Amino acid sequence: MSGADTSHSDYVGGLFRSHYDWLCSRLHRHLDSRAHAEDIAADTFVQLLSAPGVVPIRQPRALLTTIAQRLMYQLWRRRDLERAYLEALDHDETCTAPSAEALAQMLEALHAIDQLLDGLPAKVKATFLLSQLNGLTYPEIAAELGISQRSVSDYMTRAFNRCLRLCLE
Amino acid sequence: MNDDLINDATRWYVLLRSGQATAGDWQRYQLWRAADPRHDALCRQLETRLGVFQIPQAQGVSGQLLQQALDAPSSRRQVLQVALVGAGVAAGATWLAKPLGVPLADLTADIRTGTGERRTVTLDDGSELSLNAQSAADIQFDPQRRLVRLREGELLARVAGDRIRPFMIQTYQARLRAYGNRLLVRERAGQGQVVALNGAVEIDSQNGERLQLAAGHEVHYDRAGFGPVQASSSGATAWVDGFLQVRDRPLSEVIEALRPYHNGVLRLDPSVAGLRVSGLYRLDNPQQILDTLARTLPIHITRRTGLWVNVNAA
Repeated sequence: MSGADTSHSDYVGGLFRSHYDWLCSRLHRHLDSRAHAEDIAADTFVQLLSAPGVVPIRQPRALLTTIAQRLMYQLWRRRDLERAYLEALDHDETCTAPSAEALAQMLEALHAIDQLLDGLPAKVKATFLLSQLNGLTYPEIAAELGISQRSVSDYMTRAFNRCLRLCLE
Repeated sequence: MNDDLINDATRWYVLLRSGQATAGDWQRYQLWRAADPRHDALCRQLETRLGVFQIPQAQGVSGQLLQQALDAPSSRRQVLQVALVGAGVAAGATWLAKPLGVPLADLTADIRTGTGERRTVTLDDGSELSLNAQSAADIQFDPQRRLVRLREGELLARVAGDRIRPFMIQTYQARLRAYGNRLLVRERAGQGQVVALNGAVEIDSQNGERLQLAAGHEVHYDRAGFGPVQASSSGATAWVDGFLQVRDRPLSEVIEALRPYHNGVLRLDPSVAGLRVSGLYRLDNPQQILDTLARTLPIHITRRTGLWVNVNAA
């Protein structure tokens, strides 16, 4: 580890000592479980550690809050997704109940797919999913969604464009 | 530069996915891809990213189902911003206390079978448990009792004699005590069934009802309680030997029995669910059973990638 890295981790260590308890109790007010609050708080410092560009921090509590906020948003999004997926499965009467293992795998995948397609309009997502998962051709997708083939091809362009952009980030 | 690269790659993928790409298009795409290492690298990266779709694909999850989940509203970002940054907003966050909806417990079960897998184990007391496919159970023996927890699926118990310790099976919705030495229990998606093969079984349901099931009888139950007690059909344990044996049963029951043997989604059109079926089938090839059924019943089987199977009216 280089000297700069050491000083960075020392610096974050100092922040940890002075602000960890504060962050925990602040998070705990909004998360019913103390353990969850501690997890998020710890993750916040881990993120800070892996981002050496941020020193020196003039308002550490503001930055910590911002990072913690993003982590909580991710946690909540995950739960929203999980709940929505389980509900969708539940309403799908003829669908067989997946095993716990399959479900856990599926929820991971769901989260990754959510991030991959994040920000795209619902119609674009629907088009891409029908192509990617159901293997439908554009005329089939157009019929399924009641849109023109021209739109299907536009939506596919937007979806691939986003995925390819993420690849180069 | 990157924009050009992304736009070119996008055009290729949009064309190749259309269902109208010709062999010539594929050849030209391969040439384009090989023409520059950056083209190839980008394609590889995209393929890696899209690899995540293999999981829903393998599980037969449709685009429509996934779409419903992705459309889940994320309304909490704003709540959070107000709550954290705002001056001590103590807005109740009870919805956060709910545990994640993943019953990971099954991963740690003592005995577990996967799709299409059956297993028989001998317990410490000499009793034998046979688990049907996609089942999981825990063994909890102590000096007072022999308890088996059926977490999911179906099991046949051959109970060894023990003067002191009763043999009990706990499921999500029922508690069984065996007085004989052979019984079968199944519980999937809230629907349970007990068959007393040899000797009586005492069943306590979740809502406090108790039923004495005499040998040679079976009963279905769910959250609401017990169904009518019936004489058991001879085919109930045929799966132990790898067979599905039915006599004048609804098609829906056959499909339910096949689910633990089918990798993926098996959909049954409700309009044909009540068709009557009789026969003896080998469980190990559920696709073949479906084809056989399609030859004798007015049904039509459609398959998408083999994992997604629809059983519809012909």
